[in-house]
Parts: sequence; structure tokens; C-alpha cells
Amino acid sequence: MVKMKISFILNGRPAEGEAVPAQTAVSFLRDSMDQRSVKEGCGIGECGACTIIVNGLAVTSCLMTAAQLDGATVETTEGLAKSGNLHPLQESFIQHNAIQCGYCTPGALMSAKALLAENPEPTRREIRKALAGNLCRCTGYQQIVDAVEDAAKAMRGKTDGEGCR
Amino acid sequence: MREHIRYYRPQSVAEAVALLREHSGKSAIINGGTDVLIDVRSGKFTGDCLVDISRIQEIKGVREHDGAIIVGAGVTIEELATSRILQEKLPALALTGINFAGRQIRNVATIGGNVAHASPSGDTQTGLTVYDAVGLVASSEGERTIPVCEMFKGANKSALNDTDLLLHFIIRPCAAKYQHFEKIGRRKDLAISRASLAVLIDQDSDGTINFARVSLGACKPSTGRMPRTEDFLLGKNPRLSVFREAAKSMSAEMIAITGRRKSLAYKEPAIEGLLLRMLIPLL
Repeated sequence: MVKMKISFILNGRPAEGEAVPAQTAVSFLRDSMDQRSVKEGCGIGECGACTIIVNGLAVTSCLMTAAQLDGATVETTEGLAKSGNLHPLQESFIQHNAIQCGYCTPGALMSAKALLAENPEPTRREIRKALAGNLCRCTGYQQIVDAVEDAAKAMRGKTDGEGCR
Repeated sequence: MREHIRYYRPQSVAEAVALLREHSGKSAIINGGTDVLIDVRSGKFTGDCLVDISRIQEIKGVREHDGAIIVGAGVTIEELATSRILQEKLPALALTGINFAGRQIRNVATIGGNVAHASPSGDTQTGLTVYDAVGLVASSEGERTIPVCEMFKGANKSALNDTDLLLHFIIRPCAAKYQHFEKIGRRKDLAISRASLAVLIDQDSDGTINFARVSLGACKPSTGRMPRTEDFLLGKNPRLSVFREAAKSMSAEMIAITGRRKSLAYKEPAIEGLLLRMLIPLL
């Protein structure tokens, strides 16, 4: 078995690991890079639990190979909190009870983060569209949409604050 | 289970074509991975080598050249939906990217992959065939063009060989004033098409239809234009009764291809309603 060295930027820091090239990005991130927030749900790109951000775009890491992370800039939920402070999205998810079992939450946070980076003032419809690929069987979605809407407001009000980007 | 799969990441088309030739019969091309990695997971992929073309710059981007629009095979579905050039010049194609899977899939899945995989429900194929798009394919034998409508041999059967690499699509913009695409799925979002339809219609100043193209997807083994329906519309003046007849004509044309399948009880009224809904703005 030939392993491949994967060098990438993980949550702002250079990272390196060894992977079977065709293994999924989700298994590599969890098992070799200790990113346990990244969850495999369906494994076929339908549920969004494994969503991470690669080069600024939300992607399902179950339909990506570890080799495709090489050279990329990768963000996971582990990188959201800064200096012990939760990210406004995390705060808002807690406030709105946008969580029950929690399995889908890291993926939903990543989709929401990618959305707010390209569109800081999304409509509810835009939020629903951006999170359509994140299935949640507990909340019924309303709380998640509310949480993202409020986080966007909080982040707009805090233009130079930490944890906004 | 994936340990035996060799992985190549060519940087150029020439390099990719050489690899595909060397590993003919045992390799799969991967770009966004949204189809291939499902096959790897399920065991449907039985080869031992993946050729990752996601880093090849030559197959990316949308540009205008010599009056035609060139859409790289590596253009993602999200890029397709948001490209200014496509929204302006080939709107029915750009629209195929809007309700395609979820955002995470749209960010990586490519138009080339959608065509090469030859899913009968591939939305981009409906948009490509309505414009008579032509694909440019490279292999170790050289380059050749294939009309997109000839790229499908049937459900999930592509006419491309395993040594072929799809480079881009060449599409002539159409002057028709009305250019539209819609699909029907089981849900509003994240739904595979049960039916998809692209139409290009132009009219004389008195309203007479002087140009009509209709392409139907997800209802027959391969997506493509519906010549009898187009002929029916030509020379007609927009009236609800005429459009109802056009819709009947299209379902009859579909049945002539597929026969009376079990899903017909749903598909027949569904595609009739879809065409009607898309033509009503012309009234």
C-alpha cells in the first residue's frame, strides 16, 4: 500500500499527514488529523454531516479523496472558536436551540460559515438554500435558520471583532 | 478497501491522456468525485486506478471564442449557475445549475462529469442538448468533436471510451427570445429530476412561432431534443389550446421512445404540465 503525504492548511495552520490517496477526506481528517467534528452520515453526499470548507467552498468530505486535500486550505468546526471564545455561529446555535442530537451540527455550521463569508446579509430563503444539503432530523430546521440569521446580524454588527471571519 | 487503488494527479491534458491510455480498462477519471466515489464505495468501481483531473487548468472556465461559448468540462455546477456569460448567452444552460443537488455538491460536481456519467437524469444534458452543444474529446489518438446528443448510448452508458478525456463544450448562442429550463423533482431542492425540460422559442412580430427547440431529460434512456414537438410548434400562434396539443404531442413522442412503462401514469401528465407551464408565458 502506497501512502501519500498530504500537506495542507488546516484551520489556519500548516498541517501534514499520510493517507491512502483514495481514502475519503472525512476518514483522513477524523482518523489521522483528529478532526472529530467531521461526521460521516450517509457516505454518499446526501446528508451533509461531513461538510467542511475547502478553499472557501463548502463540500461534502465523504465525496472527496484525501489526496484532493493536498495543497488546499481546509476549515473544520474545530477551527471556529478563537482564544476560547465560541464563534458567533456557535453562540447563536446554542441560543436558538438549533441542536438536539448534534450529529449534523458541525456540517450545518460549516455550510453557514461558507454562506456568510460570501453573503453577509442573507435572506431566510438564501439561508435555507445554502443549508438544503444539511439534513437534520431533530430540529425541524426553523431553529437552524433562526440561528444563522441572528449570527449574521451579530457578525455584521461586529466588523472588527475577533471570531468574525 | 481502497488501499489497492493507485492515484494519479496529472497537471495537463497530455499527461492525463497518457495515463488513461496506460491504465485503459482499469481506471476511472475523477474530478468532483460526486459520482465516482459513490461507485468506489458501493464496489461498482472495479478498477485499480483513479486519474484525478481536478488540477488541470486547461479544462476550467467559461469563455467566448469566435462567436461560440466554450464551457470547460471542469466547470462546476455552481460556476455554471453563476457564470455571467452563461446567464446572458445561454440562460437555459445556466438554469440547470440552480436546483442541482445541494450547495456542497454543486461546488465540486462538474458539467463534464455529469455528461460523462450519462445519467438519464443529468440536468446539464438537457441544457446542453437544447443548444446542440458539441463536446471536444482528447485521447491518445488525438482530438475529436462529438455532439453531446450522441454521447449517450443509454442509461448510464456513455459513448466515450475509457481512454477519452472530455475537454470542453462548444456552444453557439441562440437568438431566440425565450430560453428557459425547469425540472420536476420529489422535493424543491436536493432532488434528482423526474423530468427536466429546456425550451428555446422565437416568434415573429405577430406572435407566430418561427423557431422552436425542446429537449427532454430524465424520461427516456438518453436526454435529447424532441423533433416532433418542435415541428408541431413551428408556425403556430400561441394559444392555450395549441400549447395543450403541443404537450400531448410531446408525451406521445416520449411514449414512442420508451413504450408504456409503469411510471407513465405519473410521467405523462407531469411532462405535459411542465411544457404547458413553460409555454404559458408566451401567451
